[in-house]
Amino acid sequence: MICVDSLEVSYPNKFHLCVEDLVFKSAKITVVLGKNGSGKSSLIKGILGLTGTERAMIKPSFEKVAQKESLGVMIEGTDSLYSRLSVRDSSKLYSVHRNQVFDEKRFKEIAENFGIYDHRNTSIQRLSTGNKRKAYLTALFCSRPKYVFLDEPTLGLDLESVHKVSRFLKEYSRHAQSIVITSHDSNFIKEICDDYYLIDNGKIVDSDDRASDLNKALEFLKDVCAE
Amino acid sequence: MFALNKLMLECLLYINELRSYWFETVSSLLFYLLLMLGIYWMASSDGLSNKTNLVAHMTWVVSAGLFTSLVMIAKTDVTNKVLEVMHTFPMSYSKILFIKSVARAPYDFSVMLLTLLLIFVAFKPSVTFFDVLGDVVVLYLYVVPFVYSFALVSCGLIIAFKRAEVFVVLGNALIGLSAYAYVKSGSPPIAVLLDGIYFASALVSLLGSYLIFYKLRSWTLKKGALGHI
Repeated sequence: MICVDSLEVSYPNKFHLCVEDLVFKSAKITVVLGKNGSGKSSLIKGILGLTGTERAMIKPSFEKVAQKESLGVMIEGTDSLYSRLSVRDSSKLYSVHRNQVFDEKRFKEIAENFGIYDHRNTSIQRLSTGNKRKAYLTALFCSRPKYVFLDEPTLGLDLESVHKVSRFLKEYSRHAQSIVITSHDSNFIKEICDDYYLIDNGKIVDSDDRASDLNKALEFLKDVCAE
Repeated sequence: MFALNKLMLECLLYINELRSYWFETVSSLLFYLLLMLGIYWMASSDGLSNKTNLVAHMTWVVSAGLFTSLVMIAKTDVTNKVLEVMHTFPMSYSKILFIKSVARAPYDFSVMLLTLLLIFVAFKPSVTFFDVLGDVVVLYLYVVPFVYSFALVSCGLIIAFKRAEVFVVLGNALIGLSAYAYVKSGSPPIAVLLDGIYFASALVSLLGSYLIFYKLRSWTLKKGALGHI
């Protein structure tokens, strides 16, 4: 479980994020919803200590080595991999950087699940955008993270791949401490969401754990974006 | 164990990089070798003694290799947008930089050996190959804390301002000038230079550069600009 008692982030462009009493429950997938620039990525960066904070009371603290070993992070839908490494070597490097032993069997299992195993010896630069995303997700989940933060994980993925990712996340969440996801893909959100927080202009405006309310939140988001 | 694993994977990453950029690697190596031969030829016709000139020249080659490696690592991490994720790893970024620079050291030494070999073939200097090589290794170990410090500060500036090219050119030129200043000053033996002042200044240089690197990184992090390119 992750408890954000309070978090305040300010940027020079006057954007201010201020949230309190957020709980990302164990074995659940929590989705952070919001329009562009509402503060979703800043919330994740603030929790992870990747941006300056004015106030941060977060349990557990992700500044500690022990927590960093059990983290899985995707920022702003970026496949943060070296373009010259193969899919397999990227997974190996990612696991080693997390102080985890690379498990060949697990790699095969996850890569097959995401449909990237046939490209295991292909260098990242030769992959399509969607396959790069799958390669990164494979590397991330090979390191067995307990706390997972995925910021826009479905960018560039086709419908079938999105479905594979959501099925995998549902299964994975049963053993994970917490999974936090931001996304604009409403079908994906509906498939995976257990709890949600709706964020607007740096503040939480709605939260719940009921599917009916999620639909209302998505409608609200649609209206806000249309405006 | 993990540090050794990281080192091996970093070596693999570097070999992959060199292999996949094979054309750039070979052409830039040829250009670099020709440039270094040309500079050596100009310096030796300047009346500098054969051995000290060679030693300083070779130390420049290998030191510039270390400096360029570190700067290019930081540049690659910025352009590949991996900096933010790297800051969530248990090992600090400065340690990762150190491991990466160690992984690239064999290539820098190979370039130096190749340059030295070519100089011996082309100019037939009146000194022995291993005599020069021994002095280069000693002088390199002497300057390495300062070169590393200089490179670390440059890495901090790259992380903060995302520009690398200017640091590569200026850094290499500065290292070259320092090497020739050493020759011009009469190249005192390293044993004479290894005193308390040397060790103190090496330590201050390393600590100071780490502090500057840390401050620049923290400043970038505070702005939320680690992942910007």
